[in-house]
Amino acid sequence: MRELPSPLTRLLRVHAIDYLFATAVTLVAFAIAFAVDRYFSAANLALILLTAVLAVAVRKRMAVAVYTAVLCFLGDNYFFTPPRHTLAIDSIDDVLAIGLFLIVALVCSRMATRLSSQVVSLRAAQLRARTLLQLGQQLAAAADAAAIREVATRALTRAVGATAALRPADPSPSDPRAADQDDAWIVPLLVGGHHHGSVAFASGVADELDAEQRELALAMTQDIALALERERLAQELEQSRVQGETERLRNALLSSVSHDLRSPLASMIGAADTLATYETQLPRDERQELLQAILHEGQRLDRYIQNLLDMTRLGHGTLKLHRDWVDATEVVVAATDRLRRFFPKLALTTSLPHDTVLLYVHPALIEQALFNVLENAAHFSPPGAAVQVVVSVAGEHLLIDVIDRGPGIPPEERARIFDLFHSVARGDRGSKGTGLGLSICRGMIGAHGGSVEALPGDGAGTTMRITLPLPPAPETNA
Amino acid sequence: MNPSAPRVLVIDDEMQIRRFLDIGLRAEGYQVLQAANAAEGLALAATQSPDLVILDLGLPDREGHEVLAELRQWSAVPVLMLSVRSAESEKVRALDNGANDYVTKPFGMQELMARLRALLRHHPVAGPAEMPPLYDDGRLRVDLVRREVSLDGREVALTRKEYAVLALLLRHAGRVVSQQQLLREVWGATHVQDTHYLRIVLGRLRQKLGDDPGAPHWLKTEPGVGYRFLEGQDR
Repeated sequence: MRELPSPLTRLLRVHAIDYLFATAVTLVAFAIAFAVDRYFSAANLALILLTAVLAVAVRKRMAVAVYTAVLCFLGDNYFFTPPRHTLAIDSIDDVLAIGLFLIVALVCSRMATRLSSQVVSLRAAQLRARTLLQLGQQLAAAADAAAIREVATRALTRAVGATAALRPADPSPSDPRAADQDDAWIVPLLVGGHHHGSVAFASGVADELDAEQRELALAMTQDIALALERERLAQELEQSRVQGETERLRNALLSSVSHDLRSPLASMIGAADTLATYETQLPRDERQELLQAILHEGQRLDRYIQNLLDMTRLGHGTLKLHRDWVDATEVVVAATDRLRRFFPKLALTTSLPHDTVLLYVHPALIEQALFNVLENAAHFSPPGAAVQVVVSVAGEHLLIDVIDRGPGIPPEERARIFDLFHSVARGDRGSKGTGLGLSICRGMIGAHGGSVEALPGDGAGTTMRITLPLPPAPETNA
Repeated sequence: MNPSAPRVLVIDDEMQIRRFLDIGLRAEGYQVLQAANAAEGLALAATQSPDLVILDLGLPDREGHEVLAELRQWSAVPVLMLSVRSAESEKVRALDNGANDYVTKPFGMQELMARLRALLRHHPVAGPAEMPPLYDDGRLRVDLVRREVSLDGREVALTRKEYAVLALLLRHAGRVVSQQQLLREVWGATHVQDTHYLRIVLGRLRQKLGDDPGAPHWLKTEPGVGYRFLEGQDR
């Protein structure tokens, strides 16, 4: 550890400088007074000396000012008050003059030092306010606890002019910094019983700071503790929000699974059981009907499970895009082909661009996203009504519009249909959709930088629009 | 049962799937051999010399790809793979490793039977399929010797690449040709990643042949895998 000067030595050194300054000013004043002695009266010379007292008083403390006043009083008496070069005074006038000089000098020095100390404390207050304001702004802008700690360390170090370090709430016992700073000035960061660690200032800082700076450092520490507390509360709030959301999703998922897995299974078990029990008694077309029911319900289950798998991939962020060049037409055709297999009676028309439009996407994901929209449209179409798919290019984007003649979607619902399990939330009425499809669609299209939106249909029904960005045309070698 | 009926070996660990395949295949007049795992399947393939193998990619004892590779060391028997969806890369890998076609689980019986027929029709016991040098279905006529293509009696002018793609698909008519194979054979091995070449050529071919991709007459896209030239029975 380096040797620090004792407080007394330092005090004496500081004071010696002050008194030297006062003495020097006094000497200069007397020099001037001697120089102009022959032109002015003794009363005016006293004014020059009074100026010197004021000059010291505004800069230095009261004691130094008094010292200057007494020095000037004695000098004035000795050098300029007749009889000169004695401390005796002849005339009663001069006694009054020199007496008044002493009183005025003392009063002036008191007033001047008070004024200057007010200025100094005003300046300090202003500096303190500015420092705190700056710190407050920086703390408010800090995004997380780590940023708050960084901002705080920097601001504190600048404010006290020495290293300040923020220690975590429970430093490990083996932390070397904790061990070799036993004499550091440590201020805890405490707010309402929550311990956010402490601030450790470098050794010896506490002694070097004056009361103002100490107070400023403490005020800053308090602000920092408040910022850390605010951050902790915000995190707690976010955590409980996420937990609530997870809870809601889990409940929705459970009800969806129990509904959407069970109802096709119930149909399949029922139909198969009926067949097994009454096979010989049933007419051929009824047997076929039951078999078709088993087939279709099985396919429905398969689609639902595919959706659940897709959802898990999207939800876990493990979805990797394997992009490839693909003809937009081929993706649309793959989706419509698949839809036709499941809804053979649906009137489905497609309008495709005449020229080859190349996309750079993960084809299977886009196909699945489009299939989900199509399946939705097919479910909500009244029997015999057409579902139209219109593919077009608009500037830098490919638009895929799926137009149905279903009941339409009320404006206030249009944004919410993409919410996970939205249709489940509406109860059994929404049994045709699982509330997964559109949400997955949005996830998959979104992963490609595109968007899905529900537009009001032309008259009745809904237009679902998938927008995908078109890549710059690749070089060709055909 | 007719002893000259084609023999199909089913290698799948799912008993229920083997069961309905057995019923369906026998109903179509095939003889059926069943194996529940890779070892059993390879043994049956070696001793019974089936005319066609249906191979599940997910087997308990060995990976389907390995089974395929081993089988291909000593047999050119047509192999149709069963795979789950969203595994396009798996299908492509298997096709490149010598599988002849695939169907995706869950699949319909009709689709499977159509694939089997195409495989058996075009597959003599060994060697590459010999195509007659002339294809003519009444509308589209392709002369593979003179490199002439005509549609409804009118000659169609194709670029070299367009013709090469059409001819390659035609030589494997009814079966899927992976996009990697098309790119490798038409553009060369350095271009197997340049799928946009293929998309553009296919787009132009369809335009020139007046083939609606939404209801293809000849050129069918197998999403994520490749293309297939449709024969009369598949349309």
